[in-house]
Amino acid sequence: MQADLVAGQPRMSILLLGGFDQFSNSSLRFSPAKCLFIAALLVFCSFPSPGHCIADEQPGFQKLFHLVGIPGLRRDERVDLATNSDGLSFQTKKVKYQVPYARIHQVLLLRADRRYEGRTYAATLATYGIGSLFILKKHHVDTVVLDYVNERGGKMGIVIQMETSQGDQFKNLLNGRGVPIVEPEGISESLSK
Amino acid sequence: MRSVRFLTAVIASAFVLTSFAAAEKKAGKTAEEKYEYVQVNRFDVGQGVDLPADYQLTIIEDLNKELAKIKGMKQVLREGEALPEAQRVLLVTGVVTKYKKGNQATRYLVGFGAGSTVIDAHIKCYDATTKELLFERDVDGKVIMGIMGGKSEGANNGLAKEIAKDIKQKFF
Repeated sequence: MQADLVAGQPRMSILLLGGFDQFSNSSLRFSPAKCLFIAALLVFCSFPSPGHCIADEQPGFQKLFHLVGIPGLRRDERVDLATNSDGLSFQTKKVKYQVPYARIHQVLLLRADRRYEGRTYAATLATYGIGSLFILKKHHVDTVVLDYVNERGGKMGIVIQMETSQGDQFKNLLNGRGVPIVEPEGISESLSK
Repeated sequence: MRSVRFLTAVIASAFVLTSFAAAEKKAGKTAEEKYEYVQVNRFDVGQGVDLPADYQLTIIEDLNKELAKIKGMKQVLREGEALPEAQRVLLVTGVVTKYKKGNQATRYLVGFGAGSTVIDAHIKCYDATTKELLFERDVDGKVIMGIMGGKSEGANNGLAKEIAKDIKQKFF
């Protein structure tokens, strides 16, 4: 019974049980109850955590660039976006801001580019100036323009930037929720050019 | 000794007169032109101006943020919100008349004004109730230089700051 329980477990549990037989006459003695408890603990640890399961069911978008619109956040500050049944939830350590799906009027998805000044600066310092050419390197992102109304009916807006792969995922997610998405063709303008 | 006293007296009286004049001017503004509520409508884009959709929103969000910083401002209302009763509300509208995209890399690597981002707008301020035109002006926001060339969205911020400055001087 014990052997069945721990059959699929790591070597440690087998050693423990083996140890029980081997050292049954020595000073290192394990009671069967203890062995069962340890085996159960190992089996429990091998399952993914419940919290992780929930996170998988509700996809989130990490480290997006906030450009404008979320109260209390600066431009270019990183923000996480979580989705739930009610709406979109923008979160940082300090700020939490929710936009219900029902209030979203339209979402624009634009192709854009970003330049990373920090990396350019570091490269410039490291290479005695030659690294400044790193500024020419563009990083493709998707710009999301969220058009919604507040509780008083006033027009509001949020602009965020995310990786292109995240953009596709975000589009599919909003389509599933019935939020209209507009993708203007031929627009490759960026806030960061 | 007398001349020193005389000079001190002249400076003191000049200071007092200036203070009175400034106070009177402020009091005059309070009586006639002071507003505590502002409603900002989204800016239109002029014909032939290729302003990105995200810029249109960014200008308004930046402007709302700048206006909210003004001392004496009770509330910045959004387009579509109901106006407060028995309160004078200043309505701000605008048209973007020029947009030059610019390039951050050119600003950084070349400099001397090359690659600058420019946004020009014509703003109008009305009394929201009477629809009387109170003020209109051309304003602009530019990014010519900055850290690593300066980000282009600085032009939106510059434009918003200039509009907020004008409104503060005129109505607050």
